[in-house]
Amino acid sequence: MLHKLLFILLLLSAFGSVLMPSSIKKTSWPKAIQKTSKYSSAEGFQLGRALFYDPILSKDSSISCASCHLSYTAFAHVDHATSHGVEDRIGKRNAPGLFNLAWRSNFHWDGGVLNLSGQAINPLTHPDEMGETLTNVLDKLNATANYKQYFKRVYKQPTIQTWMLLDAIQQFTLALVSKNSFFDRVQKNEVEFTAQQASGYRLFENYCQRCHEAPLFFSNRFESNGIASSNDLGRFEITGKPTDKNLFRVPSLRNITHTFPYMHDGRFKTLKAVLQHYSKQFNLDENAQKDIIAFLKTLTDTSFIFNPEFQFHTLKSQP
Amino acid sequence: MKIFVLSFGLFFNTLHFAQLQIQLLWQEKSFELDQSNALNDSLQIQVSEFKFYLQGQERNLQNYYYLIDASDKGSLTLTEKLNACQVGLSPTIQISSEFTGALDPINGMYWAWNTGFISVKCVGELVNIHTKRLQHFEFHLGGYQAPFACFYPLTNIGTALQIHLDQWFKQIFQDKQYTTQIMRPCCEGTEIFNLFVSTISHAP
Repeated sequence: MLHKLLFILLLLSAFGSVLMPSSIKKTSWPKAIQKTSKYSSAEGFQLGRALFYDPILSKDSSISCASCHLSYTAFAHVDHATSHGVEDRIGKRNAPGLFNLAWRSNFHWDGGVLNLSGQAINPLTHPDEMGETLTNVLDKLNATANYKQYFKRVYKQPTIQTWMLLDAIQQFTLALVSKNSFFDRVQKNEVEFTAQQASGYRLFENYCQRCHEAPLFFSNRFESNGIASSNDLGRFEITGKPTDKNLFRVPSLRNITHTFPYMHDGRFKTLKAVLQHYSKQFNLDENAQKDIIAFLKTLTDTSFIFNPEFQFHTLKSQP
Repeated sequence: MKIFVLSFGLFFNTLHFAQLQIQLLWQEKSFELDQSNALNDSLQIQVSEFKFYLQGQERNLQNYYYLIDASDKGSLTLTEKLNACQVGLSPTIQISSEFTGALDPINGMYWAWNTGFISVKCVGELVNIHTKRLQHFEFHLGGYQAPFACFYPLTNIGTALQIHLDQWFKQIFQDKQYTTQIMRPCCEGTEIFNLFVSTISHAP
């Protein structure tokens, strides 16, 4: 009996490194980089949420922020290689998922935007996205009673101004925090990885973590993803430095199952295709690729993706 | 009596609140937008848009941001008593998310795609008198990081800053032939910005 018990203990210790949560490296969340608005409030968040879903922001009232950032796909533009804009215009980059933006020091694939509050000006005014002018947006909002009333409540001023519009949108996007995936629950010792997920995590730590750092699974650096194209030189387009050619910011792998297609130009439709792309660099066999994908699936946070607080909202529905 | 009160009021305003005048000049005369000016025997220039930022600091270290706009005469008079002044905005304010007043992106001076404000914006047409060839030019000069930093401290501010636009354009289009479209932080943009600040003189 004692022998049997010893044997079982031996087996457990042998596999313990694979299965036991204690073998998973604990990572703590860093301090947020983006500042919270001094006008931050529940009403400010709802106002930003309504604006995010309102096509009034676009030139012909056809496109809203949510057109390319769908809540059900972690605010990515699922199944679209690059973003779509007014008059069926096509952008040149993939619309990334929107979450954990407070921990970003830069935005866009080339990192040209340094603060979240100013980011929204880009899609609003880009001719291939919403194609509108800030003046027109403000005129339209100021002519809408509901908006005037809400903005006044949040910002205590009679006329809607640019900074208020940007601040309200930021209040919503800054609140999009995703940190309740299976991986996070493993970190809290609530659940355990399967053998395949644990194997995938070890491989991930060896090959992927250098760029996609836990717990955010992105970094604020710019790296080569092994894709060179003549019409998008990435970071170089901002800095003009030859060493920055074909470098792109490192995207988050959280909710990766929902944010396809992948890469800055959306060229890969599946995680398998992405892993095949990187396996040339890292020499990963098919089993290793499958294990990594099994791990990546643990980064999906359905409580975030299906959070009704982040879904479609209009001020008209407010009392 | 009413007229006297009104006149006195205007005089009082000018005397006490105009601390610094910005004078836009073309060959020592007042420069106007949308007017043709001869650059030399063959080139004429017509400017449709001309704006630049001044950042000033009072003795108590309070900062002020001014958008000097040739289309807005009111912007040419600064009412604060400035202790220090620079053309262009400091890096801190460029990335601060401050979007009010002169810094409102609605003014067309904010680079949304590459965080930061344009320091000097100038748009217009060059016309060759002989060939009638028309060439559009557009300069968005800015950047706050080396080597493309476009801000320049002014010393001994005095009561007026004189901007000699004829000298600036001569350097751009006559002495050296720059690209006619610059809309991002770059070497040429920084050079043209430096030429711009070199044409500023001070009135005592």
